[in-house]
Amino acid sequence: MTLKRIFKNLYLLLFYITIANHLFCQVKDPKIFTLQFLNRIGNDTLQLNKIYTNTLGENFSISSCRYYISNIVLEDKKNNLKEEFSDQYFLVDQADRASQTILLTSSLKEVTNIRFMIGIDSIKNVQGVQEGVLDPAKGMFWVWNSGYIMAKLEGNSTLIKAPRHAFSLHIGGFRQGENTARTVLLEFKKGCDTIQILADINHWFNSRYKLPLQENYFCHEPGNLAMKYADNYSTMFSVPEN
Amino acid sequence: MKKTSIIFIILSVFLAFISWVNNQYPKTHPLQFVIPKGWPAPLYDFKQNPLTEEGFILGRKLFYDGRLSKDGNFSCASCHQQFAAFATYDHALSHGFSNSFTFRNAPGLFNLAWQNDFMWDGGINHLDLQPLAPLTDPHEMGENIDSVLYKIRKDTTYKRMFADAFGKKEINTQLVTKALSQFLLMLISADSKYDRVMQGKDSFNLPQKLGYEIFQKKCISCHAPPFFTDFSYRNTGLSVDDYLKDYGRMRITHKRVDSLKFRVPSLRNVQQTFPYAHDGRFGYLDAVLEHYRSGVIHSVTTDSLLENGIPLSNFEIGQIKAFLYTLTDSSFLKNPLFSPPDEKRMIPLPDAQQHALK
Repeated sequence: MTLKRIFKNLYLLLFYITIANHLFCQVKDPKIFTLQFLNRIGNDTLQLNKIYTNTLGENFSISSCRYYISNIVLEDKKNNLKEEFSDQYFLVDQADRASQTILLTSSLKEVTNIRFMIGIDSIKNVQGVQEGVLDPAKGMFWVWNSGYIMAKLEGNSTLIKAPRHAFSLHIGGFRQGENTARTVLLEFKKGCDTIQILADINHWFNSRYKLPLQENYFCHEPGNLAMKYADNYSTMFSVPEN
Repeated sequence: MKKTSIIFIILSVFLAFISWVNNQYPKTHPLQFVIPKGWPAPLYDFKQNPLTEEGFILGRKLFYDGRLSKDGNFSCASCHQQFAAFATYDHALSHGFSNSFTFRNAPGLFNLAWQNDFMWDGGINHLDLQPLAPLTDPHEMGENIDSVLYKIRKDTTYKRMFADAFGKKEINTQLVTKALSQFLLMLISADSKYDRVMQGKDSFNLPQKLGYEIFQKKCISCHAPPFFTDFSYRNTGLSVDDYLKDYGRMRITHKRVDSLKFRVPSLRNVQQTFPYAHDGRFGYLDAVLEHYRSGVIHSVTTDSLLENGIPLSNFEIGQIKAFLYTLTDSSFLKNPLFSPPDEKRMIPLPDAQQHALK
């Protein structure tokens, strides 16, 4: 075989592959799907250090509000398609506007519902030191009892009998019986590619459980209280009517 | 003419391949991790952190660098001294930041590649995570991760060493802890007289031999060779210190069954790691053995093996001690590879290989 013929055959092969690709594979057109997290207190947009009243009638202000979002699954129920973003982790931080917007590259034509985890799956809790938003330097990791702090809420209330009237809720725990990772499912009436997710912080204190700040102002380890808080805040997400 | 062009094509493909391989693997020198004869496979996942000479030397520099602490006084090595098998010599509790004492006795550091959880209560689940606890503890190094990173990033020597070890310009928590792990993983202690006897290269004298026999009958179920610990958590019937109020593993699991349970410590190099127990309450081996003979406090979680303590005669205690001293690994305690790095007298690289091959 001459060199010329080899090349000729190669070109032909390439040509066939391209044709086959077009014929048999659905041509996917990836687009950006945007999630916007908006923390609120009732119907008001959350502002740090502003005084609010929760649904238990307690006054309070928030100085820090951060939580992890992970294991996002976008679904297109109409066409029975879904897309998982299993190795992507996001840290939503009230003090950092950019962190409240999550961009996902998706090939779904339409998204009808979304599932995500608030917190970090147990696997990432046992794999040593991670990078990016999972870097322990982010202050969302317990170094003496390894594990991520899934969500953090700090602030003050004049009703709290503690130094600086401060409350400090660091919710974490991944082991069996102490797991605080929660999965949230939200459905949209219309398919869309930008979605606003409202998070009503009031749910921390009053949802499945009543957890008055005056009594439960300190949570710094895995256990029952942490799981109750996780159950509570897992209900805080909603999508505005669309 | 055709022949030459074919040769030319093959040659260029070959060259492209070489440069690809070169780019895939930056110019680090792999460090061999040699498993001592008869030991199980290590538990550490080396694929996530391949050992290199550059990484090891960087880890050693970090281990001996006081700047990792808030006031610059406390390096890892200030509580983990090589001559004490990387425990704190002759200190029940170690000195930490701002004239404070640590919460527990500093354990020796060796054979860490075979250990899954760390600390006396097993609260830390990965070797890479371990350094972050003493680093940030207000009674130990008193620092925070961000300022450690800030100090390291400003140092030009570190910049070069991180680039050499990991092939990236970035310095982050993960790389700092991976480098420290590389140093810690190489701390293998497996060359004591006991080991040489087991390999048939040496022999016990009479007290050592008798002590070994007693040890096998009365101690081995928890202090199992080759690590001289089974890595379990047990309540050995120690009273609770009313100041420390340390309930051990229960602090981690929040389960009553774990109350007062602490990790079974390794007895390798036990001669150098005194004082003993999680709070260093026993200054001498005699005191530990006396506790097992007569001091065990019985509670719900006290280990069932200690129901009657451990019956020991004075004679037996003497023999057991003679045996325990054979677990001292002087080549480990004096290995220059693990000593503070001297910039002028850098350990030549081939030494690392030689040690690994020993």
